[in-house]
Amino acid sequence: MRDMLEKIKRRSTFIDKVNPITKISTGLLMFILVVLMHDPNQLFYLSVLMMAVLIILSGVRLKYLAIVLMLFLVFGAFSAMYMVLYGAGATTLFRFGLIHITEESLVRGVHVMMRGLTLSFFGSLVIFTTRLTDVFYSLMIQLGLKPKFAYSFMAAIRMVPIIAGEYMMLRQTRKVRKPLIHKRHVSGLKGFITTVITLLSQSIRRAYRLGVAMEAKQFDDGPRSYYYETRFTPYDILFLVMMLVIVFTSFVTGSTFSLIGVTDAR
Amino acid sequence: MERKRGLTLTDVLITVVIGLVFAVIYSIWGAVYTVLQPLGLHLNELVYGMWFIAAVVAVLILRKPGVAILAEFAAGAGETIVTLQFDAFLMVYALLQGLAVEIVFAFTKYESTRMMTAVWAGIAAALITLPLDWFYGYLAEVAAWNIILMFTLRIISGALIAGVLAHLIYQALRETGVLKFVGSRNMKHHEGL
Amino acid sequence: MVIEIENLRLRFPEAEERRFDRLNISIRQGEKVLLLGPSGSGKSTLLNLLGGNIPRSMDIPFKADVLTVDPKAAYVFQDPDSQFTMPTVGEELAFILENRRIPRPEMGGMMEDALRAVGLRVEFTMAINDLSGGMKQRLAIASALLQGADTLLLDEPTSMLDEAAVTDLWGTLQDVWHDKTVVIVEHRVNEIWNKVDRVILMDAAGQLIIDEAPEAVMRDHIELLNDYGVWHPHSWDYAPVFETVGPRDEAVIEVRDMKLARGGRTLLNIDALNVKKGEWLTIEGENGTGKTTLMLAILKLIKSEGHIHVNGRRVKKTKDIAGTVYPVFQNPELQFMTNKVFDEVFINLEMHYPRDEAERRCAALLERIGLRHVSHLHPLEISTGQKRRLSVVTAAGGVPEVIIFDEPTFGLDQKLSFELLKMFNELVEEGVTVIMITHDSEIKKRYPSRRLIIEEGQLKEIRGAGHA
Repeated sequence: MRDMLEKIKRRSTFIDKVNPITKISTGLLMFILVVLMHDPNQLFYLSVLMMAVLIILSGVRLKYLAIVLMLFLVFGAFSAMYMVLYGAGATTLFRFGLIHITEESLVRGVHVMMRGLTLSFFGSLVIFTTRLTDVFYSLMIQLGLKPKFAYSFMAAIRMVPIIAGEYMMLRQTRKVRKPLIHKRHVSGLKGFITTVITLLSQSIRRAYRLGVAMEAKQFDDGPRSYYYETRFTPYDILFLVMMLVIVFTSFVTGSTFSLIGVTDAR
Repeated sequence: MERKRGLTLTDVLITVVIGLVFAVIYSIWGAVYTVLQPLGLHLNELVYGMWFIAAVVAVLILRKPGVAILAEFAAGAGETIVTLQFDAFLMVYALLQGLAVEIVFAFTKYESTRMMTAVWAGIAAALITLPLDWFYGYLAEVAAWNIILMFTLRIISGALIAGVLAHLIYQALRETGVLKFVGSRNMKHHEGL
Repeated sequence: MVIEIENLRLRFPEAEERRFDRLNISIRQGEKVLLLGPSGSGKSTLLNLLGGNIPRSMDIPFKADVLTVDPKAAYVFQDPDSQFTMPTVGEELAFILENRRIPRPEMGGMMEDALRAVGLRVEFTMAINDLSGGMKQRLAIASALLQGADTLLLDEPTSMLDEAAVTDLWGTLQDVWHDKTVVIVEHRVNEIWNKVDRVILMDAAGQLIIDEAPEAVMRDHIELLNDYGVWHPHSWDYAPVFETVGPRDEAVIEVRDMKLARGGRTLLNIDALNVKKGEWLTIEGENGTGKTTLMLAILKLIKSEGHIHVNGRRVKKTKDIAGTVYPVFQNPELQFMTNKVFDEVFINLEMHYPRDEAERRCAALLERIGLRHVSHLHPLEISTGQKRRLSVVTAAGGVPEVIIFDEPTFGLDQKLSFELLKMFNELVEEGVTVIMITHDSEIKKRYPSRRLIIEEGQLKEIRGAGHA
């Protein structure tokens, strides 16, 4: 995971130094804020500003950012589709069979899409600027998370590439056997279940052995010292101020320079 | 030797790993879900139950309190890592769905591994996030027939995928022999030594 | 630390019979003990008891009159993927020190010392996944040192390593083990036999059959070791000897101008490779030279440049040769797809025969590979050796024309390895071509009709003792 992050990073920014807990809690606050925002104009500015922050402060190479942004836009558009196509409203723009596009539903659809985008932009910023080990260390040190949970997560995450590799191998072995047997053994539900079972049983066995190994290394859930020191620094305040400014700016500009006449998507 | 209370390190590790295996599956499933979405007839809801299958499978395997929430959280967190996208929305949903499964199994004191229990857990998990969807997605503004269709399909999906399919996976997993050393078991097994 | 166990009874969950019944063992401070036994004799279980894994982490019911073990013992396990917690070398070593509550400023120095002691020269930020198998095991030993344990318990630490790495690893262990009590469970015993104080042989019922100095065991008990099918330094003197079956003239596989790349780098160039019917071929080469990649390429499971012909027909896709050329992967678990050993073979046969006939042939096939008695079990539940044999017969109609084995004898005891070799020989006699990827120098020396080696990105042939 870390190698991958190093490959796509161009430079480090101050957000790298912000405590993971600050970033995650800000993420939760953003979620609540976005759910409570109903003015599409304000939300538009917020999403644009968040995109700018992602581009400038994630430190990720533009080439990769472009791919990420494209994916978000496509997924966002998809998620808004049902609202656009079937939403209720008075001003009809288009009608075909069950499909009934109204101005209200169009605005609402776009609004829902911008919500998703704002959260996705912020989420990527967090992922691109945070090392996973730091997340768990600061959860243990600052928030008192029990070590057994933190280390289980770190150890299990180490296994994800192994699980993925095993899945690739599994597909190769299926390719070898598939022509030799009836396809009801490989396709559909049965194929899905046998795949899941093989992956799960291998992983459970490995997790069990790892649990034994960790406790043999005298791991217990009690007090311990820490290899990494995580603490809150002035960067955390800088980050919070930046986010406040962004939210405030989008509120003000959204109310002052309205792009569309609708101020409430409901 | 007395039975260990609560979750041991091995329990936690196994739960988290189960969550992560499903995270990989969820990420692939996400593509199916997204492709079905624009059809607008809520066909995507038919596969919705997949999102909380991890919780049901894990709690069937370990039969201990906290496992369902932890597994679903791990699956959500794992999806975050696989898709390189920290999604607060997804985490909140994961926790709620885990909680719903947890509640259903708590009613059986974590003793039941029957298929019906799994089905009820699947339905509960399908229902628990509907209020949030209502609010977040402005569902009140969507045509009524469309909403009813959506709810119905989601409940069916919860029952079939998170209930029946999860139970099939649990049964098949038990046959592999991997569960012999795993999870809650009674104290009597020291007898006769 | 003295280890003392008296009258131990132990039974696995859901099992009818006791695994150990009245087991007694005692090990003196600083003693080095080699523990032998056939597959499934409970060596690992005993090791787990000696270091307190049972009952600390493993809920396996047992009782004993006296049980003095060392719960602070350090382990080295065979599978690196399930003994490390953290992503990097530094973090993994620090994990041990964190457990011991060593203050942060002292960690760096201790970690450097441990790495130096095991001769591992890597940065702390190195990802564990990028280390070779031998380096991973040395990291495991470094971890054991940091744990400050008096007892070292080694559970098949070399079974995933090639021969050069095995020698290195035992060298490293001897450098650090002088004041420690050491108990070793191991298949590949040549390097270690004369360095231990005692050799113990356990039988399948968990009874200690032999408990003597290594020289005495070699002098008096070789027959017994052979009977129980465990490896010993002279094992290969008792290995099966086959009459050489020369390959026939027809070519089965022809490869022309193959070029294999991995990550943009050319891994292997093959101008021409001809494999004949009934050949017994070995492919050697150091780790990472592309042996497994070559197998996947021949099967068209990965992309490669060049032409492959099987029985004169150009191969374009995997399914063109499915059932004709068949791979047995290092992890046979991944090849199974049903929930019964019987069905695993039956689903192939049901395509060719009516139900009754298919069932009869299936039973006969399982009988032949010695799996009849486990045919009702789940394929993931049987032992590694049994899985390898089962995976051989998961090919079409039972027996394909070419079988490629990836490290088939890894982690098997003497009995199972020899049985597998006998099975290979039977296959060759029937005209089946056997291709083995292997590290084992004894196998390479004794059995193949032709030896290939991958060196410097080329596939070369070894003739006699020297190179071509």
